[in-house]
This record gives sequence, C-alpha cells and structure tokens, in this order.
Amino acid sequence: MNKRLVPILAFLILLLGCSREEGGGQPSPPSGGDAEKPAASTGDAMAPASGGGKPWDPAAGTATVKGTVKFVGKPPQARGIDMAGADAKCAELHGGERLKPEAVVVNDNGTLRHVFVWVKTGAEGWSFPPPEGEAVLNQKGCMYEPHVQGMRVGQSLSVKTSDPTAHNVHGYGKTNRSFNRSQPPGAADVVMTMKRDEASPPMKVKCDIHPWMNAFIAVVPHPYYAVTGADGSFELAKLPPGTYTIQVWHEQYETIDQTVTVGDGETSTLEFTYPEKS
Amino acid sequence: MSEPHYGWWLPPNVSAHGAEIDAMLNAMHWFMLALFVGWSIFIVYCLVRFRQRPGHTAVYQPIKAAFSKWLEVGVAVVEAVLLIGIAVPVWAKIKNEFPQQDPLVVRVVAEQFKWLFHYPGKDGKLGKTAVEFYNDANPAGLDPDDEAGVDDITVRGFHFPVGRPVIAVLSAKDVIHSFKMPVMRVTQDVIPGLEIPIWFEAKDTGKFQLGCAQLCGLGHYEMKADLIIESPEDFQRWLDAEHEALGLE
Amino acid sequence: MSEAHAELGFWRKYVFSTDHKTIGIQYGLSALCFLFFGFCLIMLARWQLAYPGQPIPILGRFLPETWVDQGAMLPDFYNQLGAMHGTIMVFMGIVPLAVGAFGNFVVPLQIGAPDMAFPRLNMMSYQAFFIGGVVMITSFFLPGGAASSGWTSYAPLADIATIGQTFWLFGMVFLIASSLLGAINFIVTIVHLRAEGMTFFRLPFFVWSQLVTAFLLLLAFPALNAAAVLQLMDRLAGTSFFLPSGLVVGGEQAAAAGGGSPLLWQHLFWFLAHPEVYVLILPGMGIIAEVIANNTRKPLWGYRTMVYSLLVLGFLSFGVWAHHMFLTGMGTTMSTFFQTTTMIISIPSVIILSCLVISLWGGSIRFTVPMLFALAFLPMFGIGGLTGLPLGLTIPDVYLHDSFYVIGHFHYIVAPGTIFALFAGIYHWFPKITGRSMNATLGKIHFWPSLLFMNGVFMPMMFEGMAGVSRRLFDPTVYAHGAGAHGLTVISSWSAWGLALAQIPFIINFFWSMRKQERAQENPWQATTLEWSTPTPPPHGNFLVPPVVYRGPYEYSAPGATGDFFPQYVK
Repeated sequence: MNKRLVPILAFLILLLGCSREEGGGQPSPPSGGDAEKPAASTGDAMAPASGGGKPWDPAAGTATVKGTVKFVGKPPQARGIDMAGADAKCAELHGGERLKPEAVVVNDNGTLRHVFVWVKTGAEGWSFPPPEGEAVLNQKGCMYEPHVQGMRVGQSLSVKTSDPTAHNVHGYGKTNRSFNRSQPPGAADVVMTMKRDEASPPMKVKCDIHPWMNAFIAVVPHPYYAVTGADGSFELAKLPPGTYTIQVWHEQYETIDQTVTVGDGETSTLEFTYPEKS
Repeated sequence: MSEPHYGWWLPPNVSAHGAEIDAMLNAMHWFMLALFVGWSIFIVYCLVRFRQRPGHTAVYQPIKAAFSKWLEVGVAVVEAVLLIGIAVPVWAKIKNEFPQQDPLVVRVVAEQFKWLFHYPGKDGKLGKTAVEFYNDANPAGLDPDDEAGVDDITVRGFHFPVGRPVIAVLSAKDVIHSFKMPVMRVTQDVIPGLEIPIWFEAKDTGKFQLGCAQLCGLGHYEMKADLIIESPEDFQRWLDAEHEALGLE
Repeated sequence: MSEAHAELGFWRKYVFSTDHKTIGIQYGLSALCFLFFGFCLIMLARWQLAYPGQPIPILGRFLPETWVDQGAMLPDFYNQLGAMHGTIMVFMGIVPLAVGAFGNFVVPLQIGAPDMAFPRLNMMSYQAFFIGGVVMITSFFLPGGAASSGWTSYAPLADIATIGQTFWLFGMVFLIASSLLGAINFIVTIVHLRAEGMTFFRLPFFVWSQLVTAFLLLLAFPALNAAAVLQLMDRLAGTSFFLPSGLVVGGEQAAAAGGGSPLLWQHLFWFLAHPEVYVLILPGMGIIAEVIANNTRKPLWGYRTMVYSLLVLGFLSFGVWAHHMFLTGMGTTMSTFFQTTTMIISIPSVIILSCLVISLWGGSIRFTVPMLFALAFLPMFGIGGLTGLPLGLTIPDVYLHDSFYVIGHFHYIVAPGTIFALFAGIYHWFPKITGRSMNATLGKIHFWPSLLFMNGVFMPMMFEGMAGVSRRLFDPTVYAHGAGAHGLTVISSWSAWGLALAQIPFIINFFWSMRKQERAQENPWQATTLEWSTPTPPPHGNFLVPPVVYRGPYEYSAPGATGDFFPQYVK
C-alpha cells in the first residue's frame, strides 16, 4: 500500500518546488506580501555594497553631467482628482480642493517634472559603498510622496503612513519581489529591502484602496540618478571620466537615451525633449 | 434634511420601484413566519402529547393526516403566485422596459477599489473610451482624440437628480464587482468584458452611500462612494461647478 | 462471514486499512479536527467584525506582520479566513464526516454487507482526502497566504490572486478525487451488496440518503474538477478560459490572451456547488430519520413518499444552479426558468421535512440526547429552508444577494441543521463504534447552550441582511447601514464564542467515554436496523453469520411483536 503513496507524495513535492516567484508573467503580478525585511530597521548597516566592479575611489569622481528635460506642446488634458466621493477623509485633508494628477506635470518654465534620470551604462566598472539611511515613501494626504524616486540596490525602503484613513501599498516588482501590505491609520512602517536592479522601468507602487495614488521607485546599482523637480533640471555629479549613456524615463512616454563623454573635471550639459518626435 | 435612519431592518427606500420590492420582502416574511409558527406549534404539541410516560404507547399506524397534503398544495400555490404574479413580471419590467423619455445616461466604471462615474458634458455626449487609454491620470479611459470627451465629467461620487430616470452603464476594469445602492434597492453585478445597463429612478433626495457587493479583493470593504440624490436644480448646479473645475477655455 | 485473516500489523490495521469501519473512523477523526480548525478561523474573523480595527486579545501579538498590524487584523488575512473557513467546513469537514465517516461506517452494516464493494478504492479515497486537506492547511504558510477569493473562487479575482489560490485548486482536485472514488464505491455497494431479503424499500432511509448523495457527488463534482484545472491553467499556463479581453489591473493592461468569460467559471462552479449543498443536507436528514423512528418507537410517517421525494430532489438539484447567478446580467428567460425550478425543488424538500415532523404524531417520544438534536434539527432546518424562498425569487434576491441574509440562510441549514444531525449521529452510533455509551448529562449540557448560541449567531444575520449589509466585508461599519446594524454583529460574535465553549462538554464526553470501563449493551437504543445485530465493535467482515432481512426498517410498536420493536433481522 505504501507504494501507491509514493507517486502522490512525489507529485506534491514537485508542486511545492515549482511554486511561482511573485511577480511572474501571468495576467498581472499577483499581490505578494513577502518582501524581505532587514534584521534592523535602519538600512545602512545591512545594505551591501552595490555594483560589480572595483571598489569606489572618491578621487576618481570629478566630472558632472547635468541638464534639463523640456516639454513641448500642449500637455494632455488632466482632470482634478476627486477624492471626496470616494473617501471623505482624503478630501478633508485638502480642504476640498482637487489636486492635479502627477502623471504629466509641466513646470512654468516649460520643463517636465517627475522625470527619472540615470546612468544606464558606463558605471559598471565600480563597486560603490552602501548608501546611508533608507529610502522613504510617505502616504500623506492620500498621495504618495515622492511621486518618483531612486534608491540603491540593497537599500531598505520604509513605507510610512501619516493619514487618518487606511492605505494598502502594493508594489508591482518585475525583478524585485512584489509586495502588498495593508496599513490602517497609525500603522507601523512597512520596511523592505530592494535587492535587485529595477530602473528601466522603475517599480510601480499603487495604493489598492485609492486608485489615483501611485508612485515609481527605481532601484539602481550606483549613485548616479536624479529626479527632475520644479525647474525640470537634473545633475549627476562625481562621475569618473568616461563615456556614459544617460537615460530619462517618464511614466507616460518612451525612454530617451543620450550618450555623453566627459573628461576629467568636465561638466557636460544635456537637453531632453518630451514628447519625442516619432 | 434629517439623517437617514439605519436600524435592524430595511433602510429607507428612496427608489420609485423600491415599494414593490419592499412589499414582496415583507409579505414573504409574514408568510414564512406563519409557516414556521404553525410547524413549531405542531411540533411542540406532539412533544407534549406523545412524550414517553407510563401507560403511553406509540401507535403503529397513527391517524392519517390529510391536512398535510393540503398544506403542501397551499405552499405550492403561494410560491406559484409569488413567482408568476410578481417576480417574473417585475423582473421583466426592470430588465426590458428601459426609460425612453430623457433619461440621464451615466457610465459607471468599477475598479479595485473605487467607483468612477462618467457623465457627458455640456455637449450631452459621452466621449469614446477604450481599454488602451486607461492610465492613472485617465481613469475613465477617454480617447484623447475624441472631441466629445473633452468636457466629460469624471468623479468618484454618484450624483443624480430626483424624479428623472437614470440609465447607468456598468463596466469593470479588473475583476467582478457589484454595484449596490441599498436605499435604491438596486444591485447589479459588474463583470469585466461586459457592459451591463441598468435603470432606476429616485423619488426622494438625500445623501447616502453605495458600495461593492461582490468580493473583489482586499480593498472590497472600502469600495464605497457617496450617493447624492438632489433636486434637478441642485444637480444642474453641481454639473456646472464640475464643468468650471475642468478649467476649459 | 468474519474472515480468518493473519493478524495485521499496526500500519496495515490502523493507517493503511481497507476495512470500511477503520476508514470511517479515520474520516471521522480527521473531519472533526478540520471542523474545529475551520471554526477557529471564523472565531478569529468574528473579532474583527465585532471590534473592527481593535487588536486581537491574547493571540494578536503572536500573529505574523502580514496578518496583523500591531495585533489588529489586516484585510487580506480576513479574506483568507473567510475563504478558508468556507472551504474547510464544506469540503474537509461536513462532507467527509457525513459521507466519509458515517456513510462508510454505517452503510455496509445497515445493508448487511461485509465491507464496501471496493475496499482498496475506499482507502485511496481517504488518502486523497487527507492529502487534499494537508495542501489546504499548508497554504496558510505560503508567502501571500492562503486563498482569499471566497470559497467560490470567482474569476478573474481568483485567476490573479496569490499562490494560495493555486494550492486551493490543487487541494480541491485531491478532495474531489476522494469524493468521486467514494461515490462509485457507495453506489456499487448499495446496489450489489445488500443482504438477502434487503429489498430497496426495506432499506433504512439513511442508506437511501447516502445513495442519492453518492449520485450527486459523482455527477456534479466533475464540473468543478474541470473548472479547477482550467483555472490552474489560467494561473500557470497563460490560458484565458475565464479572463476576458481588455483587463486592466492596477492601472496596467493585463498580460493575458483574453477572450475568456468570467461567467463560465460561475456556471461550472455552481453546477457542482448547488448539488453540493444537497450533499451537505441529505446524509443529515438520513440520520435524523433513523433517530426519530427509533425514539418515537413507531415507523416513519410516509417512508415511501420520503424516498420518492429524495429521488426527485436529487434529480432536480442539477437544474437550479443559476439561482446563484440571478444578478450577473441574466435576462428574463433564464431567470424565469431557474426561479421555476427553484420553487419546484422546494416541494420535495418540504415534503421530507413534513414527513419527519408528522412522524412525531402518535409516537412515544424518548428525549434521549440524539433525539434532542434531531428535534432541534426540525425547526432549524425549517428556518433555513424558509429563508431560501426570498433568495430563490429574483425580486427579493436583488436586494438580498450576497448579503448577510444569505449567510444566515445557508448556515441555518448546515450548522443547526446538518451539524446537529451529525451530533445526533455521533451520540446515536457511538456505542456501536466504541462499545461504550456517551454520558447523557454531558450530552444535554452540550445540547442546550449549542441550540441557544446557534440561534444567537445566525438569527441576527437575517436582520443584518435585511438592513443591507453585504457579506465578506472586513469592516461593515464603513457603511452607515453597516454601522446601524453593528449591534447585531456583536451579538453574533459573542454567540459564536459561546458556541465554542458549549462544545467543551462534547469534547470531554467524546474522549472520556471512549476510555470508560463500563461497556454498552449490543443494542442500547432498542433499534431495528441491521447494524445493531453485530458484535460491538463489529469484527472484520461485520456479521458472524450472513444476515437475512424479514421486514422493513422501522417496525417499532408493530402489532403482534413481542416488545415495542421488531428488528429487521429477527425471523
């Protein structure tokens, strides 16, 4: 009789062994909830050095690449976010005023905000020391702050909630593990370590309860990244001299790459324009 | 106006067809209560009269109780009346007799975990929508090239005027939801891949809630929206304010 | 008839046994454990319902971060508790206990057979059930937790859910296999292995109920088996049986082929799940019939009518499934058809209940513990059945669909209905299985609070449903009508916890009685059916000499007999 059990048990073991990674290719990344946590809640002592090459020598970082991301033409129509009908507590936090969506934000000087800029290739030769502190994603006024950010591979991300209403932070990782954690009002921070590169595209984070809330987090193996702000500018400093591919990413548009070579102590200025002429 | 009272039985009814539903619900419960009390009295009577005690024995073939056959027939007749006399015709009315005269047409989009209400703008036309246009800044999925959609109003609370029939076209983006307005006595499952129209008409104003009545994930309990039924003038004022907020030239 | 075998070792005798009685006990003990586990899950969830957002007392600090936040339950865990409570109670609790345990142990004895027709198949059926149960329980410990899309697992939600759903589907495949193997066994056994003189209309009603149940399982479960495989393929193999085109999840287009239909899942699921609810009740009715005939000391009133009603009920149960789907956008033709069949199916159901009630008339009623549970079954099942009426008609269903009214309705049938019948069966057959009687005083201490608290849990739900409160809500007070009905929720929760305490006398009685020195008589209830003619406990092969049956199953107080009962097997 034992013999008949063996194939059944073998099948079960196969089944357990083949259980899918979170974030696999099926209809949509399933809501995970298994993000890793470091033993201590501060990330710096635990985050390892990132990048694959030789140890970083600060003396080498003398060049700078900076620039702006411009926006040409009429931005797409954006309706104000109506929070009141869905969650009165959210609306109260803004005194009834409707915020504009953060998808395409054109600054007064004709530049584009919330663009993620990073060194896509060229920094592989170095291995950088771990970053200090943790990356923070704050849920405030039923919006995520910041809307777009970069963080380092191995750094920990702390998701905080400051709102009087429940949120549910759902990260859709394609290389990092997806996560899906509820945070009632006053909930403890949810802390996770991002272990893998995920910058092209960055990981999308949504609130399951408030569908207008979204944020993007790029996980980068080196410190050369920036996000354009209210003036549409970026600066990547302390680059070693060499040739780099700089990529800009925006949530609604295709990425744009530009190659630049900087010599020792040089500063190069780049300009990107959205939307791209096809 | 006073706060609606929510207790341990039916909530207030503000729907034109709600009275029929409430009447049927109440009538059925009286019928059920009568059957239950009848049965229970019979059982208790048996337990007392036929309990085992000295000198009492069971009867092998007790008196045939013919009334039970009549009871069965009676139950079947009541069910037939409820079915053929009320349920079938009222359902047919709800499903087939859509209002013809000047209904307000609203598109209702369900997604995990909030509702979206899409009204035509001043041009009276709903803009074209398609799945490929959905994104977080465009939750209604409006086609940016369609002129009719530019003035459309997309909000997360449901407003409509009293006394005017409303046709709501329900669609879902992701999973099955269910559009339930308890005070309107309206419930309709919202199924991805289908567009399901329903109609209703309010007879009273007030501020209420609507919610999702089909488990749709972990935010299901939070999937609520304000339900605001107002006078036609207030409703128009609200539409105008929404139009202002669009900031069109 | 008891065969001379070489003495079996421990493993062959108690673990890998092919004896229907051992398998019945295995099913019984496993099912009782799963019932207890499933009950614990919902007791936890009831804290959240009664005191939303409050840290769970005592246990809260021990639960992991993905389940609770600083001790207070999180919505995803609540959904897991709900889905797994339903699944475990139905497929791992009630059906294995009613069919696997009572059916296996009692049916061969009642028909005079030495064992089931296929003893090895019987053993495999238990093993498949056990594996399915293990798969279900272990799913709680997966990243992402157990299945959380309801026991109904509607697509597309279940298609895109976490890995717990995959385990649920595999678990179901094993559990379904177990039931299918068992069903074939029961049908062949009852048709072919009846003793000499045991014609169909001399069969105890319990055996009839198991026969019809077996047909329901055999014919209905394949639909869910197929559906489960299709959903597994949607989740693992990139198919889109249940995924329509154009899904947008989390603001992104879903990477699915599309072209499927969520309604297909519902049809396949309910094609099984409606007959399944009759699977849940029929064995219980069978037990009640045995206990009432025995404790009124007279034959059942309308035995033949009850049997015909059973057959009609079984047949009709395949034609009502879409009454669970009235609100999916159904038009007039489909809804009229299914309402009509639903109204018609209430008739045989009412007939069976009425016959059981009328059977009390003219009897000499003994208030033994099994009889107490059987008597309570009658009005409780009555409430459950009656509250099915508004749900079976479209117009009231528009309002009551997926509300607490539905939960109250089906729980009245399954909890103070079937579970009370199963308790009656345990108290009734315990002496035959173990050779000892359960303590009657503890039995009454078990019964009265259970009856009270069962009503305390489920009657408020009827009112909550009428107040418009939907089911499966982590926090119903988010809605004003939910907040207005919150007092009802608190009553339900405290009653549930009281109900748990009321089971303690039963658990004590169960284990303590097994170890008593004092043995019970062979036929302590003075019953007429064949199982009471064997030694206690019955040996392998059951009967010392092949039994012969001379009369019907309920010849109590028959004229011309000595004593107030005339067993089937006495010449």
